[in-house]
Amino acid sequence: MLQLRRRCVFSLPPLLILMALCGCQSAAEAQADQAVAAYFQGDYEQARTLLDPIARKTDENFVLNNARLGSTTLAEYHLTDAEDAFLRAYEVINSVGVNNGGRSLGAALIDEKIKVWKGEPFERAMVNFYLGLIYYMQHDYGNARAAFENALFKLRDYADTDKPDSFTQADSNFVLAYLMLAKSWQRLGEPEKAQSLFDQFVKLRPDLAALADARFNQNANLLLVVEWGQGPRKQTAFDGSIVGFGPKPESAGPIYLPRVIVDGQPVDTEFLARPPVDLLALAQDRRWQDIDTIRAVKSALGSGLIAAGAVESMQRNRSQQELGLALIAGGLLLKATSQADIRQWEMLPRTVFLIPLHLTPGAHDVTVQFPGGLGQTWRHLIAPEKTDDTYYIRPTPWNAGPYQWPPPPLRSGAASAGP
Amino acid sequence: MHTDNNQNRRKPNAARFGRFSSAFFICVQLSASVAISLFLFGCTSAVSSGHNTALDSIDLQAMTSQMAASMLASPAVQAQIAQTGPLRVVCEPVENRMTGEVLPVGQAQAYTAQVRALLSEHAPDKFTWIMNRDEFYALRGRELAGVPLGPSPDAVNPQYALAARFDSLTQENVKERSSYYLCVYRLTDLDHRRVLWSGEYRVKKNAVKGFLD
Repeated sequence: MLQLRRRCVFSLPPLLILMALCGCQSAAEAQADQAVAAYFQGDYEQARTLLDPIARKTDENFVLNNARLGSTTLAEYHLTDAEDAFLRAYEVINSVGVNNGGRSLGAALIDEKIKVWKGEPFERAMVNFYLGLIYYMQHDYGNARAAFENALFKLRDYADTDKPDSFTQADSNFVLAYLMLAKSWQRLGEPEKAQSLFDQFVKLRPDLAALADARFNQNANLLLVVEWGQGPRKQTAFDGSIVGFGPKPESAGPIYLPRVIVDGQPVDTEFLARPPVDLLALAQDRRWQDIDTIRAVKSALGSGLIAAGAVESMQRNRSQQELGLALIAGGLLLKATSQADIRQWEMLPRTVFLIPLHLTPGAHDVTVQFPGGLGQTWRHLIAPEKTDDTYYIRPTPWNAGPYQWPPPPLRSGAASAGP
Repeated sequence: MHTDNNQNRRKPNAARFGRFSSAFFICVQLSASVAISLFLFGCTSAVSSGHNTALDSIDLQAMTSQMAASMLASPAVQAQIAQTGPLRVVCEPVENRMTGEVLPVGQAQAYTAQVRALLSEHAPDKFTWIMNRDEFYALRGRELAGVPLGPSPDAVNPQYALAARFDSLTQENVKERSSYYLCVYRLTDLDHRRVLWSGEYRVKKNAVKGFLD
C-alpha cells in the first residue's frame, strides 16, 4: 500500500501539471477573448489596444492574433496597421516547417494548441483577401493582385491533387478573389488578363455574371465591400477530440441581401448585391488531417484504458488495484491530451458583398441596409473621376452611423490611403 | 492443498501485475515529464523555424551585388560616363509582377536602394543619385532630422532611371509551393526611352509541406 501511495505521489504532480498546461487559458488568451468581445460590441479602439501587444508575441497564436488585429484595424480604417498585421500573418502562413521540432511533437503528444495556428484553408484565404483588399484600397494594385492570387492558392489545400476537377471546385467556392483579381489587372492596365478572369468568374458562377461585366467594372468609381453575418464556428464532437465547423448553411438560414441608398435614392443593385461566397459552406470542406487521426486514436485508447482500469481497480488484489489506478491515470492523460484545437478567427463574416457603383464624381452620402434594421451610413464618400475608391463596411447593431468621411485615422493623411 | 495451489498461482500473477503496474507508473511519469519539458523548452517562436519561397535577404545581397557589378562593368554605361560625366540617376521601387507574392513598399524600395548604396560606395564619382520623388517627400514628411536626403527631386532633373521588375511563376498545392523568379533591372535614359543597361537575376525556390503545414 505504501508503495502504491509512493507511486501515486510521484505520478500525480507531472500529470496535474500537464493537465493544467493543456487545460488552462493563458493571460494572453484571456486578453484576446476580451478583444474579440470588444470587437463584436463595436469598440474597435479597445479591441485594438488589447490585441496590439499580444499580436507582437511570436508564440503559437501569432498568426491568429495578427488576423484578429487586422480585422479590427481594418474596421476602423487604420489601413497601415491593418496591412502590417495581415502581412505578419501572411508571412507565417506562407511558410513551411513553422511547427518543426518541439511544436510538432508537442502538438501530437500533448496538446494540439502547441502548434502555431495557421488557420484552415478558408481562413488563410481570407487573410490574403483582406491583405489584397487593403492594397486595393490604397491603389497598390500590384500587391493587391499578388495577395488575391495567393488567396486562391490557399484554397487549393482543399483540393485533391489526383482529381483535376477538385481545383475548379475549390476555386468556385471563392470567386470573391477571382473578381478582385480581375479588377486589379484592369487597374494595372492589362484588360486581356482581366477579361480572362472575368470570363472564368462567369463560368464558375453564372448567377453573378452582372458583377463580372468588364466595361461596368472599368467605369465603376466606387466599390463597396460589405460584410454580413457571422462566420463559421469551430465545434467539437464526441469527447472533444473530433472537430468540425458549424452551423451548416442550411441550418443558418439564407444570406440577407443589402439595399444601397445613395444621396437618399435607392440604387438598383439587384444583380450586383449577391453573395459571392458563403464561408459557412466553405468551412464544411475541412479536410481530415493526420493530427485528427492521432487525436482520435489517443482518445479511443484513453477511453479503453480508463474502462480497463475501472475494472481492475474493483478487484480485491492490491496489485490489480494498483494496476487499475495506473491504467486510469494513463487513460486520463491520453484523454487530456486528445482535445481538439478550437482556436479560430472569430471576426470572419459569413459573406462579403462586392458592389461596384458608377456615380457622378464627387461626394455622396451612402447607406447600406439589410433586412432587420442592420445597416451603416457614411457621409461624403468620394467617387473619383478616374479609377475607383473602395470602402469597407461592416454593419453591426452598434455602428449604424452616420459617419463622416474620411474617418479619423485617414484625416491626418498619415496612412496615405486612396479614399 | 487446493488453497496452497491457488495461492502459489496467485503469487506469480501478483508479482507480474506488480511489475507491470510499476513499469506503467514509470511510463506515465516519464511521458508526462518529457511532455512538460517539450512544452516548456521545445517550442520555437512562430517566426524562427519556418521558411518559404519568397525572396529573402540572401537574394537581396546576391542580386544587388550582381546588378551593381554588372551595371558598373557595362561598356555602354562606361562610355556614357566618359562622354557626359557622372550619370544623374533616380531610383524607382521594384514593380511587383510576381505571382502570389506580395512585395511591401519598403522591400520594393530596398531592392533598388541597395544597388544605389553599393554603387555610391564603390563608384561615387560615376553616379549622382537623386531620390525618388515619393520616397523623398515621405522621408521629409517623417522629419528625419540628421538624415541627408540629397538634392530635392524637383531641383535636379534625373537623366536616367534605375528600375526593376520582378516576375515569378508560382505553383502551390497540398504538397508543396514552388516559385521561379526572374528579376530584371534596367537603367533607362528618361529622355529617349533607351535602355542603357539591363541585368537579370533568376532563382528557383521550393518549399515542401510537411506535418501541420
